[in-house]
Amino acid sequence: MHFDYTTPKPALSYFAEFDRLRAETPVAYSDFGPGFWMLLTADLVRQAYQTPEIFSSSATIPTVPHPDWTWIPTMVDPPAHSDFRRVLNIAFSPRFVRDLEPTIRQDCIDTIEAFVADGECDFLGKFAKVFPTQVFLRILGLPVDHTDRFMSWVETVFEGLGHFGDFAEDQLQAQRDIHAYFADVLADRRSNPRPDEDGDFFTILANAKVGDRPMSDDEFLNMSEVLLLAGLDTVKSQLSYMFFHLATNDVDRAWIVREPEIIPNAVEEFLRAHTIVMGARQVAQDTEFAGCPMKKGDMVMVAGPSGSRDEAEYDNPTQVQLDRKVNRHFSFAAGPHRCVGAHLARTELAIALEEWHKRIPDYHVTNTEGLVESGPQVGIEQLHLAWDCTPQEALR
Amino acid sequence: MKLTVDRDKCSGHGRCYSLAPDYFDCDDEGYPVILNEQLDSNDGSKVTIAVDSCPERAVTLKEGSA
Ligand code: HEM
Ligand code: SF4
Repeated sequence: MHFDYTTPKPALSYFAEFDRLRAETPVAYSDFGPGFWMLLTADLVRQAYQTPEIFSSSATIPTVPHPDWTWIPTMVDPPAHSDFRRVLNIAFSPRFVRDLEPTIRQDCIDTIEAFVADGECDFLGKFAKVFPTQVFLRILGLPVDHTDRFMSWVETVFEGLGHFGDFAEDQLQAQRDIHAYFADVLADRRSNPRPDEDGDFFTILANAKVGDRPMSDDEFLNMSEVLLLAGLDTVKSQLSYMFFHLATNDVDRAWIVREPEIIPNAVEEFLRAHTIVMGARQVAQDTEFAGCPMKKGDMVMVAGPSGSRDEAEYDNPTQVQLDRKVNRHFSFAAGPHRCVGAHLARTELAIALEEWHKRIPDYHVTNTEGLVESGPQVGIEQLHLAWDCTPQEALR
Repeated sequence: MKLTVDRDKCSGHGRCYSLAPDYFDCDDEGYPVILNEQLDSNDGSKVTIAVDSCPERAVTLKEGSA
């Protein structure tokens, strides 16, 4: 079997491909790149995520068994993991997110108001990248007018990942710039800690303890970069699928407009139907798993996009059903590395749906080029939307 | 019926306290706190949906009070 997830294919192709594979087998082996196992059912995905002793996070990209980087906390296994994780849990807790909701909502409204009168927009460039970046800067207490800078860094890093030549050189430069930026933040918080030190994320992080020692500068910079890379592109990609679905599905779009109370449930359903991360783990000890002989060092794709659509757990799993009741998708993974930003991401996605549809209830896709996706973290590459913006008064 | 959360499995997805806030609250880190562990067997589908929606399968609802 040859599963090359890096080739761009028409939007939603990879989900269909996982559906086909899962119908044939619960576990596959792909010879793409250095090779990796693929866990395709909900049960196996859950078990792998919940068993870090065997399925280690020492490598988390299916085709990269020997990464020359160590993301914190992403690539730290338990028990050390929880030392790093606790600070983040508190900073991104449901309560913290709830307190910030009004500001997040206002950022969303301002972003939409900036283009609503144009009757059209480059959805990713004008909305799906901008909004999560602003929220991110606000939550972390950084100046919101650094939005453009952050957007371009994230873009350059993701363009470079897995490429060679100029793209890779630009990526390294962007990563150096990100480090320099956060080094300044660290120096600033060390020399003048914010007075409300319970509220300022970087003051908390700068003073955090790992076990009984202080967090090192390198760890601080590493975690800051991970947050940036984990928290912006993911939300953008999830928004691309949500709005692509709604723009091309009149019934569901009308439902959201008519019954906005359904939105939190709809968000879970979008996350389930279009789980964007093809996660990975590395086998830490020889093991027989689901009847397969796995060797220490083997890579294993933990296929969330497949497990979230498993027939064994859902009726009509490949259909989007906005009022689906039971939903235990793997969009945010599972086990100890469950996405720290899940509560924030859910809030951002729900607010985006609410505020957008209050202002732009009816819209359609205008581009045909660029409606493509590729892994290991899928997202639609280009999405242009248009709507009728004849002022209401003119219609009367 | 008795409601329990397996702390080893729970990773704080928060599906339980979002879906059934009468039965679960959350702590500062986002882990669930059971508010109401004893419930009538006919006590509504919200809890059942919350139990079934835990990605870790960490929440259980068992017969009896022990
Ligand atoms: C819809 C949006 C998002 C999706 C689909 C998503 C998905 C994921 C997934 C699948 C993981 C697990 C990776 C692994 O175990 O190897 C993860 C981890 C993580 N996410 Fe998210 N994420 C989203 C938004 C965010 C946001 C908004 C933030 C914060 C600003 C964030 C921060 C993190 C961090 C720090 C981790 C590492 C957690 C750990 O290793 O303990 N994510 N995310
Ligand atoms: S839904 Fe499950 S994993 Fe999530 S907080 Fe509740 S018990 Fe824990």
